[in-house]
Amino acid sequence: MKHLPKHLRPRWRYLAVGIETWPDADLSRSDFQRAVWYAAGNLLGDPGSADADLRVLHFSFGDGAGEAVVRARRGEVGPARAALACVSEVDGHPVGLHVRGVSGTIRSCEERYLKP
Amino acid sequence: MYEAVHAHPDGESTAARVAATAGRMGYDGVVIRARTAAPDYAAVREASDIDVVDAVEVVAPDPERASGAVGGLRPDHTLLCVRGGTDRLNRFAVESERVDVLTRPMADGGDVNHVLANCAAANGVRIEFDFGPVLRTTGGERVRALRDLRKLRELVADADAPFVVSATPESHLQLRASRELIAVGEAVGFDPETVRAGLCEWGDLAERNRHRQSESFVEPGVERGRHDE
Repeated sequence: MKHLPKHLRPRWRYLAVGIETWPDADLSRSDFQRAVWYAAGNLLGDPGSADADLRVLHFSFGDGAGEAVVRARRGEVGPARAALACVSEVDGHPVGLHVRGVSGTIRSCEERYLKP
Repeated sequence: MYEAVHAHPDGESTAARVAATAGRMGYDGVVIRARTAAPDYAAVREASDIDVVDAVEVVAPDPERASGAVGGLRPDHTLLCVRGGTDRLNRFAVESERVDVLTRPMADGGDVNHVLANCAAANGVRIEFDFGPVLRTTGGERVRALRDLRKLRELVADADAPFVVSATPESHLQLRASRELIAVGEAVGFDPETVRAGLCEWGDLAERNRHRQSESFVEPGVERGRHDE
């Protein structure tokens, strides 16, 4: 399908998220995405979850620590933050999450908040 | 802003680790609500460069035993919390001026009404809004926790009672930054200012009690100081 003109494309905000677990945990991107969707669905309900439209774009994890970039619709950063705070477990492993910052582009999000 | 945490052996992480994580998240300090934990506060404070408050949480099955513990522990700790959860314990806590904070008043079937809220306001006992179940449970359990939080919020607002907010983390993984807690509060119907004030209240309370326990303090309004000619 023909792509949308610029003024009709959705505007996004990108949340840099720091992830921490116990050292023996092993997380994958899909597990994390599922946990984020569940948390958003449970806290914000289906309409709120659809509005926030959370998606995990970048995910890296190893040795009990990791980081991710989560996309949310502009104007829904507050609910997105709340949903991320409610992710307490991923695939049965307890996790600690911390939103390090919010950016308007993926590139600035990675440059400012993720480890090089 | 401060967060009140459980440290090893009450929780799963050591006080030093929780304090380091809280410092990274931008908190000004942590309150260690100890039951059996006895960390070296000076060392933890130095290692984490945030304030670490020496607090104790009295967990007793009935007011008689809680009263004994409150009397015994009050002089040795900066903050004294009493874990509520039954109607009698809640009532005991809000009626004693020596208690700083009534924690988890609605947990395990406990209840608060307008009489207790007014009493808490008169005695200056802070009532805790516990965000833990909102963050870490789902389904019916969370629905009940949210219903209780709403009731408590309305009672506290009506009585103008003092309050604190905490996520009651049991490990450093359960800590959430203050902005996240404010966002969660907004999602469940709290005013952002209320949550912020509740998180700051821990620090104000610690500062007030430290001042009261300092050498120069004699009684409210009376202090030992330099004599002006």
